[in-house]
Amino acid sequence: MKCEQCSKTAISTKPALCKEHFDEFFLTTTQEVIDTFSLFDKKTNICVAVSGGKDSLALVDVLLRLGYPVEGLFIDEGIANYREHSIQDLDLFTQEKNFQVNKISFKEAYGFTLDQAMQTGKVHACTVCGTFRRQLLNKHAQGYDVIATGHNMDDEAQTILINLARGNTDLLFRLGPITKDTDLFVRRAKPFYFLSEKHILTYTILRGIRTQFGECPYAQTSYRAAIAKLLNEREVACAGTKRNILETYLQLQKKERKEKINDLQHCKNCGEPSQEHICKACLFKELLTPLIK
Amino acid sequence: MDIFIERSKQTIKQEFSGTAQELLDKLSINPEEILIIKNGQLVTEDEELSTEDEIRLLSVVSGG
Repeated sequence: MKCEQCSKTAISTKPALCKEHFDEFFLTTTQEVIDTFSLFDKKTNICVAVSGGKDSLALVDVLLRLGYPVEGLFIDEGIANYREHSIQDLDLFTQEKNFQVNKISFKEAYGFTLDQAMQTGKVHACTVCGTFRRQLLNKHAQGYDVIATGHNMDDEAQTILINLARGNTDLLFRLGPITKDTDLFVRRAKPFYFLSEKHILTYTILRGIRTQFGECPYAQTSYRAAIAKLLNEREVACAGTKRNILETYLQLQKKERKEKINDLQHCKNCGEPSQEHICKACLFKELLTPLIK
Repeated sequence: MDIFIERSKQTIKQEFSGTAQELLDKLSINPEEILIIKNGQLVTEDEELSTEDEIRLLSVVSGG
């Protein structure tokens, strides 16, 4: 297959591009998302949520190349034989790029790891992990203007379908490349909104960014894994399916956006944003703490 | 041909010649879920493969 921009051999299929034109496509697509959705500018105080995986390291690399000053925030959930590998990749990357990262953990913040929480048999991994991560990110990113995350087109298309399938209309209309500005939450931006998992791994290989294969051991059992499989099958059968889901969603969101941010309050226990008097993170902590061995 | 499949962390040996897409079909692997490395180089699904090639199928999935 030849590059659609020149006569060199292509290294990517959709779009068919050689190494040089793929790099240009990747930077341009990221910049277009930043500009089109007004994610941030070069004076913005940007915190990147980094995991040491391919998406967040690629995001830091691209933002630095595009001239955005960034710092990182890393959350260690405490998942054995998984997170320690990405910490190694993150440490190597931060040394090479001279990139500042603040590290926090579930153990320090809540008194137990995700593995310990799972041993109780009382909670679903993705639910408790997502709740704690969201809260810690927001808490520790105070002082920044925006949190940039490595969420990509696959993640976003999956989340839209999951919320549709579960009837979560409130959550559904809070998605998109940038969250609304509120006093309670630091805004979240997704510069890779229109780039796929495949694009991002291609970029990390071309840029020599080392990431070990890292799929969360709890992910295979998740609803998301089933939706991802379905979407990948549809994408092969009908190219452009994932992008079409996002484009359709953005049109619907424009018409129907009804964020319930005004309904949010401060948790009476920890003071973090919450939909109820006591936030989900505190409820999980109260449930799990006596059961942790 | 040595084929390393990253997601299942296994290396299999197969006699094969044809395109990378035909190999993926044979292994029931969705091309959306992998990148193909042939003898250390990133290639597309239409790449011709032969028995002497060393193939790595890298999983594009990460995180949860």
